Amino acid sequence: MTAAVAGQQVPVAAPPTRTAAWRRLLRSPAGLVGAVLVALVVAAAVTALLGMTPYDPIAQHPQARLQPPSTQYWFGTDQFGRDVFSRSLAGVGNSLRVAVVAVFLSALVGTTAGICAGFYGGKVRGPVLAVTNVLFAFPPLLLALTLAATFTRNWLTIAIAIAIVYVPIFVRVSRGPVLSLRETDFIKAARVLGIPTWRILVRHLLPNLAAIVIVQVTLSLSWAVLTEAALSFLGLGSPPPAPSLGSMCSTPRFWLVRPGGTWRRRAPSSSSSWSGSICWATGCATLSTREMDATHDGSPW
Amino acid sequence: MTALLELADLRVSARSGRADREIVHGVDLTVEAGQTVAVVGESGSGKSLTMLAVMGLLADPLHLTGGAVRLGGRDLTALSERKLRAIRGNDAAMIYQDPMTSLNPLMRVGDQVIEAMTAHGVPKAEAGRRMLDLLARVGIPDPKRTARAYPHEFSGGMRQRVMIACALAMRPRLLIADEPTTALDVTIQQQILALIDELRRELGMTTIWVTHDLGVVARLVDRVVVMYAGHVVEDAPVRQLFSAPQHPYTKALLAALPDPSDDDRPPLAQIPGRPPAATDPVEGCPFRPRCSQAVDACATRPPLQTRMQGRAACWVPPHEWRN
Repeated sequence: MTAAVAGQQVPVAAPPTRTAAWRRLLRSPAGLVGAVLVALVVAAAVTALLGMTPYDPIAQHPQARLQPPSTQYWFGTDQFGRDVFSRSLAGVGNSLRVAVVAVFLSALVGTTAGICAGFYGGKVRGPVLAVTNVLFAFPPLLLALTLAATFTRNWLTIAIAIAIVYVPIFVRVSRGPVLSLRETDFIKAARVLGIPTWRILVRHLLPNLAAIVIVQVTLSLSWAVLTEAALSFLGLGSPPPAPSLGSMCSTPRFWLVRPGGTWRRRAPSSSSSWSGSICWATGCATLSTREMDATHDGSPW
Repeated sequence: MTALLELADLRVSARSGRADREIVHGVDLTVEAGQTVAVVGESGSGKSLTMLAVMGLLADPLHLTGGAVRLGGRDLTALSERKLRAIRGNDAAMIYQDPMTSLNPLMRVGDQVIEAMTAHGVPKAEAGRRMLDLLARVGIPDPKRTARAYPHEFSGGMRQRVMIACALAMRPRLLIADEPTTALDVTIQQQILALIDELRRELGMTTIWVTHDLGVVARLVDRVVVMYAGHVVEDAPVRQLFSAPQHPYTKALLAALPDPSDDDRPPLAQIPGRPPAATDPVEGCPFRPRCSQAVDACATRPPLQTRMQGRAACWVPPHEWRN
């Protein structure tokens, strides 16, 4: 038997390692810039969530209201004498926490529903797609506003409200590819081998869907940051005095005419759009490196 | 000899709108344990559908509308999906047409072979050991190393070997090979055919080859079943089929096989017309419009009748055929 295959060489590439993937990421300029920016934002968020800000973000210093930036208060202080730098860090922390939880929940629920709707068809598809379409019919911000206004407000309920708004996106994004994956030969072959359906879904279908879902996650993260900021800008985010980038953009509008007002307005809003664009940049960066991966050795992630 | 697989009046239809359109019109077929049978026919003759029905894998809009599939005496059509799943890959296995796409691109090949066993309750450690033996047995060099490779690192022939390893992992009693070599180079084709035939003998498997190429399997099988437009038209021992075809369609198929040793190089024989589409209403013998021997009796459908050592569905016996 072995004689029949003598001469056939099977080239087996070294399995891709995690360190190699990191090195590739850092070698590309886009990947490097993205990694640095993400590191900065995440560091700021972690600092704030661990309570390691220079000042307590909600501590008021009445004797130091509306201070311009100084070595003592890097971004100055607001109308209650709260340190804007500390509040910005805390705001970034809050935004990221909300965005990560919201996107995680919506990806989990949406992808599961999308896979079921795509794979089973019939009785599952109808209800899932009906709910999806209804959710899609609302403008996302309006729906998030309604939900945020209904719940008691804290960061978790805000995250859940945003998650509900984003679920239909994940349903749609995952269902389409499942429809075509379902018909692929390797899924059929798995059925022929008698592999249980749940196992086919988890081990054969999901990994082949991962690329699409991951890109959607990176995009959604940046949108979720902006949605959270928009909610709190409109007064339906985390209730005061909790620091939030959106409300910090909103409140100083009334102080614009006062001396020293303009830069305070700038700090949180630019940092909000920063984190948004940074997430997006990360998305692009990971996407581009993944593509490089794929074309480079065709390996799975 | 006992029958391992029995198909009794098996009917498969496709749902289109409210109507059901029958595609396989009552196939009767018995395969004895240990026998090797080829099912041949043109594309659309219903041969692959029949085999999917055997595996219980007809997916919407296709469905079974009648008949029974008995494997080792057990009627598979009455089983729940759960019990069917336990039979698939375990008692009855199938090798597919296209090895290039039949393996999950994101899973190491070794793991895919292992999964074929763990799905049927083999403990993981044992499955791992058996996987290495299996890969070696189907002719994959250096199994320890290659088991860690991904499918894209393999050629078509190698992938088909992996598929064979998956299919035979549970030592099934019945193997259905659905055109397993169509997508491969001719030289690789011969290797794969030889490999499957070798393993068949080794494991004592009952084997059904599904193909549209009579030449490929002529040397491998005991019996040939010819299908046309969803009907079995002839079922005969392989020698008899080649030497004395009992159905004009079989004869035409044989005539269409090119003979390389022929010095004259006559134009390749063709069968005029084309098979009826599933949408065409068929009355009488389905081959009648293309048949050179058709007579008035052909307006009613001929049943499968015993002819020599086989069966054929034709009103006109060969000695009455006009040339």
